[in-house]
Amino acid sequence: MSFKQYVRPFSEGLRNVFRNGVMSLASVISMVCMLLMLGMVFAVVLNTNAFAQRFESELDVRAFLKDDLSAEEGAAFSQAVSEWDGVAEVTYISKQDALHSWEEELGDDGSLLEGYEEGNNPLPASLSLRVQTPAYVPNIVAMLTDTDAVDTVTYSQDVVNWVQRISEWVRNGGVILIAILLIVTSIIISNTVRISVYARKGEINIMKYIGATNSYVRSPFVAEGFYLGLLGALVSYGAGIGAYAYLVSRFDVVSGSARMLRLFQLVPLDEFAVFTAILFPVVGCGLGMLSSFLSTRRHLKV
Amino acid sequence: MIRFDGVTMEFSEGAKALDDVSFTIKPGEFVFFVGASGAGKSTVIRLLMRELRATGGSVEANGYKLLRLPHRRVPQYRRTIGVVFQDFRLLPKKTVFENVAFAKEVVGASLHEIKSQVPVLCNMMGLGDKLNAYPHQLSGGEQQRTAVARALANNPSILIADEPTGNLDPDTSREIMKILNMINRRGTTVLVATHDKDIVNSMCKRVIALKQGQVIRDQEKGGYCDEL
Repeated sequence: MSFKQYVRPFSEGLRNVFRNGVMSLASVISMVCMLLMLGMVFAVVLNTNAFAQRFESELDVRAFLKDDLSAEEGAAFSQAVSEWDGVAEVTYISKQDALHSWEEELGDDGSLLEGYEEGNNPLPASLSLRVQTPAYVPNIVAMLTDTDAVDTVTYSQDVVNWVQRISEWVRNGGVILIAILLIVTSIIISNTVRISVYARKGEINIMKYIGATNSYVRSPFVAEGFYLGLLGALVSYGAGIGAYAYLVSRFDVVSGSARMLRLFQLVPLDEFAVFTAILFPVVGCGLGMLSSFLSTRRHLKV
Repeated sequence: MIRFDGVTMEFSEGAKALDDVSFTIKPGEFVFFVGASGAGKSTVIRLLMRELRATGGSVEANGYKLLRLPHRRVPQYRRTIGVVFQDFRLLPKKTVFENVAFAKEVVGASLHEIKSQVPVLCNMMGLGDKLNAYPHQLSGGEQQRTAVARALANNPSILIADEPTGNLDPDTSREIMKILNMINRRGTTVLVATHDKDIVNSMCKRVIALKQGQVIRDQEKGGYCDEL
């Protein structure tokens, strides 16, 4: 096999792409739509997962103690709770500690809390519990509520569940949508390639009579599908990265402030970019080649 | 060597295109298949090209048993035969040189081989000064000679011509038959399906006559008879 033989499918495939200009354009557009949709779903899944994970790692149960409890009683209660099943760590946060940490969180605005001190500190003492796994949470919450020392209990489990449920919905809906787009795109690409095949029917016929192998006849068309996929992938990569970068910059405005808001920060651009740099070309070129391969299989029998 | 042994070809509608056809063609022979339209000439050729698979009997050519030949080995077999059609089937956007070179490219010949062998072949067909002409710039005879050159490009041991003179005037037809005869004398087996009476009668070669899918005559140095 000469060098020319290896280059032939790629050069002829490229010629086909330009020869069927309008159909190629339609293929690339539908490929771009599909990949952008894929990227969107991917971004949402990536971010909800990261969000749920961040949330879960902060999964703590906070038990606010009754105000009439002394510091010693609080510490003793904390000691008792630390021995419960499923409790990984207990931190006792005194009224004073709570005031300090609020001050810190407010940063420059911390001066707002001036004037509050031990005597008139409105914040309650609390226990912050780290739980071994989320499964223990309901039980521990129930036990805490039952004791006399505890006023109220708050925990983030509900929010985590809610986030996970939404992320699951998004994922499932996205998968269905992507499947539909995948089929539509592959039909359009198949048709584009089929037009190429028809346009060169005479040539293909002669090739077959002369003794060309199926792969020899088919390779330029598969290359055509590859180009359409690659073109679609490049365009969607540019558009997808641009859109994501814009979103990241919009959300970044709030990330400087409070801890709670930091939870909603987007996955950084480079992480998204690395994933899509692999995902888009693989899906685009793979789909392009596969649909060409299938559409030529039926038409090349002589 | 070509051997048809009790070959039956039945299409799905139940019509028999060939009915118990048997003959043997030795290497280097020149054979005419004659008969009216629908007699089965084209079916014989399509079976030999392995475009169709016989529904009964056995077909053997160049050592390949065509009924049992798997799809992936068909290209390998086809490289041992050359085919010429009534309508030439040249690629309109390629020159004479490119049309002939195309046959060599398809089987993976090197650029060097193509550049050295294609002009020689074209010269042999009397196309030496037409290498850069496009099919629409050629006469019918020149187009058919280009098609013959293409069929010979890969040195086939069998050359099959399906009505090669069907679109040509009598003089040009004779010229093409002279070329086929020359090719035959160089050792290539040549099969010609035709209903051109004059040509068959003038060449005095073996004739296999078909009628309604059956061989009604197989004659050394025969002619085209009116029984068809």
